Formats: sequence, structure tokens, C-alpha cells
Amino acid sequence: MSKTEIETRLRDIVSELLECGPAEVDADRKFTDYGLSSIEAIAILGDLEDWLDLDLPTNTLWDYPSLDRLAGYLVELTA
Amino acid sequence: MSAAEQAAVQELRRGLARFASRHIDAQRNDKEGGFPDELLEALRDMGIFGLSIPEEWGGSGLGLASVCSVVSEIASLDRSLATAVGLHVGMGTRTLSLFGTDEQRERFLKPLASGEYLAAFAATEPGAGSDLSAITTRAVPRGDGLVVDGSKVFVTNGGFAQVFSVLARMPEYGEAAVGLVMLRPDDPGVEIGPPEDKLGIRASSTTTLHLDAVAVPRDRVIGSPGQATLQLPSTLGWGRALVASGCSGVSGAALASAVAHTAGRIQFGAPLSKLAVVREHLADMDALCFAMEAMVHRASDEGVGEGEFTRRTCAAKAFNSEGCWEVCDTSLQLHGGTGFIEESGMPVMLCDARINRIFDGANDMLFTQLGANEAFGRAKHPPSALRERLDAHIAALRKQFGFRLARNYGVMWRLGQAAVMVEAAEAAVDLAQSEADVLRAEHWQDMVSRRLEPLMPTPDRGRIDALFDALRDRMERA
Repeated sequence: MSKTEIETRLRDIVSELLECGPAEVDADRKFTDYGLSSIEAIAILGDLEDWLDLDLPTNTLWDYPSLDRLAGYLVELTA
Repeated sequence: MSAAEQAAVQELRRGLARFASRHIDAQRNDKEGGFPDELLEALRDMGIFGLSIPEEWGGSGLGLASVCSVVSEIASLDRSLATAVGLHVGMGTRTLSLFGTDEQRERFLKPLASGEYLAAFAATEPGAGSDLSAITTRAVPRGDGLVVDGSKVFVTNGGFAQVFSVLARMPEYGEAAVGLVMLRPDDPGVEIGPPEDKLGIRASSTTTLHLDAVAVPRDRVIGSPGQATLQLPSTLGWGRALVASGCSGVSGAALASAVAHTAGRIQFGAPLSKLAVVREHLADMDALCFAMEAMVHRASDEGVGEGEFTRRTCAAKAFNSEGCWEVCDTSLQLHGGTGFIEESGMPVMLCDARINRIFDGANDMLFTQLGANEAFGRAKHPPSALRERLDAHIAALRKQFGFRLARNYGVMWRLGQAAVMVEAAEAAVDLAQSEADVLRAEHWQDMVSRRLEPLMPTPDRGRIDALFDALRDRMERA
């Protein structure tokens, strides 16, 4: 899975959660700065786990707190 | 649990019960706000403080299921004592047992196993409760060591612990890095606040902890520095499972007291227990107690993966603490006026039960997270009739709201409560062996079936927001 594909998927989820356009999501901004909490993190993880067929630790978004860093981590994980 | 371990645990529970009849007086401990020295000494002699610590470091090396069983017994006798012991054998020592270096274990774990030292775990801060990402306590390098600054609140065992595991940010290892640093009460800069005056568990110690430039060597960090997010899931899971088991023990005691009272109290020419409404209450309490036991049984299975262990222990803690409150409240009700009098023991029991819905993860937060896990496919369950009803409701919600469902915390909270009740029904069926247990499991399933519907409608978000706005306006005008 390429980083672009993962970023696109993440951007779609986050923009739906925030009710904004995908282009408005800043890849370097922290999820928490957008007001996303551990509840939205579970929704994001649940979708990624289904899509990538992975089990992800609950603290994944704590350790990789922005779209860019999370996408980078997932690229390594699926390589 | 092996047969030998099971036998040892049963013997320990019997020993505790025998000892309790002479030496544990929960009401006196509550009144005096502490435990007599001879009680703690007797627990040391019984090896209670080393239950979960590996044998090579002086403990008994029992698994989670066994430790839960013992803590449940203690909770049935004295909730404050169960809180102190549960914290020590769980969150207080678990990280050190699993991740500490041999030098750390030799120096700290051995005296913790013998009970010479007692343990505390300090994570919550004035501005960081359920949201631990908000902690501000920091451990930063100075010279060859570290300096720790910050404040912690609601520290269980704070008044008599000799080892505090303190959660602190460690920015030198990354922006999000946190570590557990062991502090001693006599470390310069450590200030332990006075005992908090609490609603319940008044014999247990709860304090604040203020850390002002506490300088410690680097070997006070448990395991790999900055790696607490990898260490915490197991430790916190143990903590939640032990709370769940304590709730189960308390509920058993509350049920037994209600059965004894209603059998002996004569009204309208017959014991209260002959009345249909009383019998229905007792049957409901019994079924709920069995479901709670089943949730502890499920949560204490350490053979599942980390994510599932976390989910199960969250579910058991939330379910059992709500159940414990319900059973204690119903038991007090069945005692009538007697239950309102301190001498009956029921007021202390009810007050003690209340904190379980708050500490080790507030239930509102846990239910909301569990609901999100259900809604977004992070919880896997076998099919059942109750599960089908819940899944159909979740599918309709997902269709209506998509990912935005995750932002509706009220719906997530209700879903979490519904899902946990259904899981408890599945767990009860799995655990039931005897004919009596099958009856209890079936009755709990019926109760869930009746309780499920109110948790499943889609709430009118607009009306809730309008109600809240109107309420705030009224309060501001008042």
C-alpha cells in the first residue's frame, strides 16, 4: 500500500468526521488539534484495521498523532 | 488456572474468611479511617501482598484469575481493604514485575512482595483524568539523572506507600513519550498531601502528590524509558479486572445480606422472602451477580491479544461497577428502614460501592469507547439472538451517520451499555455449568432482553442540545 493511498483514505475519514473538504485537512496538524478524541480514534482504527486487515494497538494515534506520521507508520507496517 | 493453583486459592479464601470473622471490622475501619497494624501484619503473614509477584522475587506468582478470586473475597469483607490490596497487587506492582530490570526488582519488588513496602500508582492529575494524553508531569534530564516536576491527585495508598509509580512525560524520548518513574516518599521534593475526606472506602488512603524538582537517578524509570504506552495496557487491564472482581465480591455479600434479612423479617404473617416482588428482586440480583462473575472470568483470561484484553477488562469494570451499585442499592431497599441505619452495614457498603463507577476509568468514558469499538468493528463476538438485535441497530446507525456517528458520544455511550449487557449474557451462558447456574444465566438473558430496547433508539440530538442550552440559560439567570 502506498503512502498516497493511505493518506487519501485517512483524509477522507478525517474530513467526514470534521464535516469539511478533504483538502482542508492538514497532514501535519495533530488529530487532537482538530478536536478528535480517543472515540474518533477508535473509528479511524476500526476502518484501517478492516481495510488493511491488521490489528492495531489502541494507542496508535497517540504514538502517531498526525495524518502524515500515521500514514508513514502504516506504510512501514504493510511493506 | 491449574488445579493446584485453584486449590491454593480456595484455601487462601477460606483462611481469609476465618480470619475476617475475628479480625476484620469494615465499619470500624471506616469510622477510624484506616486499618489496624495487626490487620496489615496478618495480611503480610498470609502472603497477600505478593500474590501477583513472581516467585523468584518473593511472591506467589499467581495469575490474574487467581488474584481476582482473592481480591473478590477481600472485597466481600472490607471494600477499603480490597482497594488498598487490589491497587498494590495490580497497578502498583504489575509494571515492575513485567518490565523492571533485575536490579529494580531486587531492590523494590522483593520488599513489595513481602508487604514491607506498599505500592501506589500516580497517573491522574488536576487537568488529566480520563484523558491521560493531557498529563503535564515531566521527567527531564539533569546531569546523570532526572528531575521530576508535577502534581498528581487521587493517589490510592498515597498515605502509606513506600513506592510510587508516577506517570510522567519524558520529552527527551519524543513528543508523546511517557514513562513510569518510581519515587519514594522521602525523596527530596516529594510532598504527600493529607488524606482526602471521601464519600466511601474511607479506610483506604487517597492523597495528592506534589513533585517539586525531585531529582532521581535514571534507574528509577521502570524498564525502557519513555515506553509507558507499551507497558500500560497490561497494567491498567489488571487494575480494571481487579476492580471488576472486587465489585463481584461486594455484590455477593450484599445479596447474601438481603437473602438473610428477607428470610428473617416477618411481615403480613410471613417472611418477606415469600412475597413475589421480593423474590423477583432477589432473583434479578442473583442473575446479575452471576453475570458479573462471568465477566470477571472472561476478563481475567490473559491468553487473548492485548487489544481484546483491554476491551474485555474495560467491559468487565464498567459492567460490574454498575451492577455492584444496583445490587447494593436493591439490597439496602430490601432491608427497609434497617438498611438506612449504619449498624446494618448497608450504608457503608453502598457508599463504598459508588467509587467503582468512577476510578480506573470513569464508566461514561468506558461505555463511550466500548460503543465506538462496537460501531466501528473493533469488537468481535459470536452470533446470538441478542447480538443480532444490537448489530442490526448498529448497521442502521452506520448507514444513517457514517463516520460522523463517532462524534455522537451520546449514541456511543448507549451502544456501549447495550453491548456490555449483551456480552455479559454471552459470558454467563459460557460459564454456566450446574442447573442453578443455567437458571441464573437464562434469567440474566431475559433481563437483558427487557433492558436493551431503551438503549437503542436514535436520540434526537437537536432536542438534547436545545434542552442543555435552556438549562444553562436558566442557571445563568439564577
